[in-house]
Order: sequence, then C-alpha cells, then structure tokens
Amino acid sequence: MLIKQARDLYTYKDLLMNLTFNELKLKYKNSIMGFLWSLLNPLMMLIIYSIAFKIILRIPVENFALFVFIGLLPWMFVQGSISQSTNSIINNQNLLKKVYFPRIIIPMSVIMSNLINFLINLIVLLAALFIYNIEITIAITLFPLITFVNWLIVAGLSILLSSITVKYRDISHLVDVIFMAWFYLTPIIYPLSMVPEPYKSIIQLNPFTGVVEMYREILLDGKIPDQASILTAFLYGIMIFILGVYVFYKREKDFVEEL
Amino acid sequence: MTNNIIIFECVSKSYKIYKNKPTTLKEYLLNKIHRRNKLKVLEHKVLDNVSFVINQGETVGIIGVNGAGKSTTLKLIANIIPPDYGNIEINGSVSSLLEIGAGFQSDLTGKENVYLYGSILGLSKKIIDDNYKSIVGFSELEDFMDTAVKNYSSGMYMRLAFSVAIHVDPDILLIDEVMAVGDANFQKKCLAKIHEFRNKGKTIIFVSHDMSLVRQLCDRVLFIDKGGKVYDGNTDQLVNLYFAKLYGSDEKISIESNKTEQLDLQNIHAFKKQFNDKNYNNTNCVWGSKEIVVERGYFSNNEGYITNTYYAKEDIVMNLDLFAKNWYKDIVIGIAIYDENGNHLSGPNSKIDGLVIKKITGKKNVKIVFKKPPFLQGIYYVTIAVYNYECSKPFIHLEKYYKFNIINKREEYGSISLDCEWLL
Repeated sequence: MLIKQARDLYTYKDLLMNLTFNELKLKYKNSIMGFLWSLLNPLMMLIIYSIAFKIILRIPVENFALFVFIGLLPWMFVQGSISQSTNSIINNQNLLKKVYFPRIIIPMSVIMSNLINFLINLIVLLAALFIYNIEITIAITLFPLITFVNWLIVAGLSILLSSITVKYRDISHLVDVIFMAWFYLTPIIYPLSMVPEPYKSIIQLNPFTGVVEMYREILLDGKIPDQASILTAFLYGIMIFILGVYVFYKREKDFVEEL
Repeated sequence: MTNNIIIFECVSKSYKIYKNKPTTLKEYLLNKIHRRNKLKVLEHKVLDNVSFVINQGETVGIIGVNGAGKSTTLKLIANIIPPDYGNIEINGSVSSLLEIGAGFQSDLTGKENVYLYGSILGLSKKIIDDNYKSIVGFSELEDFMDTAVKNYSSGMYMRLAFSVAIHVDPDILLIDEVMAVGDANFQKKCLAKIHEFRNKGKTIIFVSHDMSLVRQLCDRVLFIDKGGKVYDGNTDQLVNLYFAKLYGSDEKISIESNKTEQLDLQNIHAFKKQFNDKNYNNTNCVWGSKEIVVERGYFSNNEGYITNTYYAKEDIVMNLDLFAKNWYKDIVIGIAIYDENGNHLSGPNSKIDGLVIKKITGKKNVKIVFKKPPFLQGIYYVTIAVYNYECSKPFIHLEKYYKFNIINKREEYGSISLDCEWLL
C-alpha cells in the first residue's frame, strides 16, 4: 500500500511542483516589487531588530538582533506552513471533488512553498552574518540536516492538522490561538539557558526547541551540536511525520464527503 | 492487462443526510445537555449492491434521471470517493472530465493554467511540452495564452480546459455532461476526438442526458434507477426505459424482478405493462353506462413491443381490450387526442373511418394504428369513448385517460410536423 502511494506521488510530482510555484507566484502577483518582497521582508525585520535591540531594548546577549533573527526565520517557516496548510484541503475542495490526485500534495505544496521562502530568507541571513563579522565554520554543513529535521516536524504537523480540520473546522481557529503561546514556548526571543529549571524541561519538550537551538549553534556559535540533541530532534521529527502521514491517509478517503 | 477494465463487485454507496447536525461546539453541548434535537440520519441510497463489468474498448453510457447517481458512479470509478461496501477494481489509468475547469487558477495566464491543469490531470511537464501546440490549437485560443484566465469568457475558459483534458491519454476516459461546450463547431471537434478515442480502443464512460448522443456513441448502457438499482444492457432498450421513467408518473414503479445485473427484455416488458396500466388519469373522468368497458388499454409499437414513448413520425399502436357484459351491435369507438395544454388536436372516429363493430359480446380486441402521426415532441393525452351507432349513448368514456410521449430527434418548432418538399 505504501509503495502504491509513493508511486502515485511520483506520477504527480509535476503537480506538486506547479502548485508550489503557483503558491509563490500568486503571493506577489500584481505587486510591483514582486519576488523582491521575499527578500525585503526579512531584511526590514533584521534592520528593525538591530535598531530596537541596540538602542531601546538593551538585552545583555551578544548580537541579540541576529540571535532573534535566526530563531525567527525557522519559526516563520513553521507558522506559515502549519497555519496555511490547516485550511488548505478545505480551500481546495472544488478541486478535490472533481479530480483524483494524491490529496497529500495539497498540504505538501504549501509546505514546499514556505520552505522555498525560508531558503530565500537565508540569503539575507548569510549577508547579515557576514556584516556582523561572524565566522562561518564547518558546522554550517549540518544546516541541510537540521532543515530536514525541521521540515519533518513541520510536514508532519501540517499534514496531520490539514486532515483533521476537514472534519473539525474549529481546529483552524485553535491553531491560531495556540501559535501565540507556542511562540513564547520556543526559545526564539530568549536563550534557553535563561529559563529556570522546572520550566526549562517543559520548553525542551517542544519539538522546535531543539531545532532552533541547533540552528543558532551552527550559525552563530559555529559549533557542531552534540549528537544526542541531533538524534532526539531527528527521532521527534520522524515520529511526528509518520503520525501525520498515517492519520492523513486514514482520513483521506472521507474528505470529499466531509467537505 | 486483463480485458475487464472496470469491475464493480456488490458495490453500495449511500449518502447520509444529517438533520439537526450541530455545527458548533456550543450547539453540540447544549443539545447534549438538553437532550434535544437528536441527530437524525437519513440515508440516501445511490447504489445498492451493484455489480457490473466493463471491458476494454467499450463505450458505455450511464443514464438515469437527475439525482439517480450517475456522477457518483463516475466518482467511484475515478477514485474520488470510496464505496461503502463492495469492491471496485480498475485496471488502467483513469482520466475524468467530471467538471472541466475545476482547478484553473484565475489569476494565472492561459499558458500557466495549461500546465497547472495538465498536471492536475496527471500529465507530466514533458507531455504537456510536447502537446502544448496541439492543446492550444484545439482550443483556438492562440492569441489569448498570455492573458490571465479571469479575463476569459466562460466559453473560452471551458474550451481551454476541455482541450487540456482531451489530451490526457488515459485507458479510461470519464465524461460527465461536458459536451455542451462551445459553439457547434467546437462540439463537432470534441465528438471527433471522442470517436478517435474509441477507435484507439480506449474505454469511455459517458454520462449524458442527451439520448441521441448516447445512442450515437454507446455500445452499451447502464441505467441507474432511483434507489440504487442498475440495469445493464442494450442501448436502445434502456434509452426507452429512461424515457418511460422520465415522462412517466412520479409513482414508484418497481420492476418485478429482483435481478440487478441483467435486465432482459422480459423485465422491461413487464415493467412497461405495469407502467402503461398505471398511467391513468386519476381524476374522475370516466363516465357511461359501463355496459361495455375497456379492460385494458396500452400502447405499443409496430412490432407489438409495449411502450408509450415514440420518436416523431413513428407509428403508434393503441391496443384496447374491450369487454361487453351483454350482446350489443353497431358499436363506434371515438378517440380524442390532446396536447399538454389541453388543446384538442385530433378526433378520429371509427364510424367516419368506416368501421363499425357489428356485434360485440364478451371480450374483444381492438387495435388502432396512428400512422406516422405528425406530433412533435411532448406529452399527449388520449380520450377513448365507446358509443352506440347514433353516438347518443355512451357505454364508456375515458376522458384523457391515456398518455404517450413523443421524442423528436430533429429540432422542429411548433406543434405539428409537416412533410415539406422544398423546390428550387
């Protein structure tokens, strides 16, 4: 069965590509700056943080603007993918009701377009690292691995939520609320080391904690994260991904009737 | 690949219609607490234990009145919805033209949409690249490919979608009421394409309400009845059945046999008989001394095959089984034919036509043939009256008691057809 799904997905790989690029294309359609916005957005963010944290909020963390920026980029990828894909099946119901194709392509295309956006943002990040005079070490070679783990978690959650939302429409509103809390439960605007003990382990349960910390380690500190945390994050990712895909395929056949 | 390209085994499908379904959590909880508005589930059977096999290379029409489950069957074949019970086996790739144009992105240009829609239908980029010229050529939209689809007229929109869809090269093509696209010229092209498909040995499943198209294209027909029974058989027979159902009374007409897979001629025969008998005008429009009664009246065609649906200019045979309680002589039968609006169209009378039943006692069978009647499409009501020679005493008068339907294949206007000779 799994083989059949995979073969199916392969046949429709061009559809995944088309939907992904459409998502990106439509985002900036009819805007003068067009695709440049993808770069301008994080750039502006970085500039604002640099000013705000240097002049107004003087936090005693070295390169705090960059510190927050490295945390925010993957977070934007996470939030964008999950909140967009939650409603993706419902938004495409016209298509689902009329044509057969592997349904999983719909949330996948949302995740892919967000991933591409994330990778574009990296251009700004790399420039910033250069400007801030941060030494780039061999540790950066781990970046694809960590992004893959990040992707696994995001994909798992997105696929899971997109399939449940078809039946329980409240989920999409719930997700919005949860994201507000989740932002603060992830060490984005603070370092994990700042958190006192009983809360620290709670925050460490958050699958994104490890990912964000590792991004910082390899980019900002130039250190290779210890194997235990890579492995934990990886296992976390695999588990969430499998759960998401499993639930999705279980629920998939009922979509059309629930829409 | 086996020869059986589509196999339905005991497939059932029903839709649940929920009444009082809570749409919000608050409503749900309140209902629970107050124990009110219990969830009611109505089951709407669309297919009931249906089995059939479609072979490779066949063109099969699916017909049935609105809401009978034609599109559901296509969706089952296309794997868009799963069956409740039973097993569906599809041995080949399926392409569905269920509703063409679903999936067009109105902000994208025609060209981008060709690629998008093509990939939705499962075409790879390479295949679209190779066929792009021919797709655009078929749609006749060469000058509009760089325009956003939202600026298209609805006809252009459909034409482009159809052109992409027709270039998918599947083993099984599902077509649902999509032939009404574009002008006559474009339709001709579509038909030609479908014929081309047929000639290539592809399997086509075709849903339409256009019976002349069904007759023209289909080797075989599946008739889906309300309640989920499916009859599988000869195109002509089932098209007739369709018309009978369509123009028949709303009363539930059940076919006596429980067989679902095969509806043989006899079943249709039995059905038609029942149908004809039931087709009474129930208002109290029967009068007379009833010393002579019409035991049974029904329509048939020239071959004696019972039907009450005819094509225009087809001979209509009216059969009357008379029964006289005593011995009578010189009996006259009169007929009146009315159209749907109650206009009296014709009033043939056996006396005028030179026939007087000299004597009648017990059963008597009378057959009246309306030769090439000039009626055009519509429903017609028939009055039968049996009188004495002077036409002063009615034995039985059945006012607008029977009806028959005329289907016209030609497009003609007015209420009667004229045989014209055009001279130049």
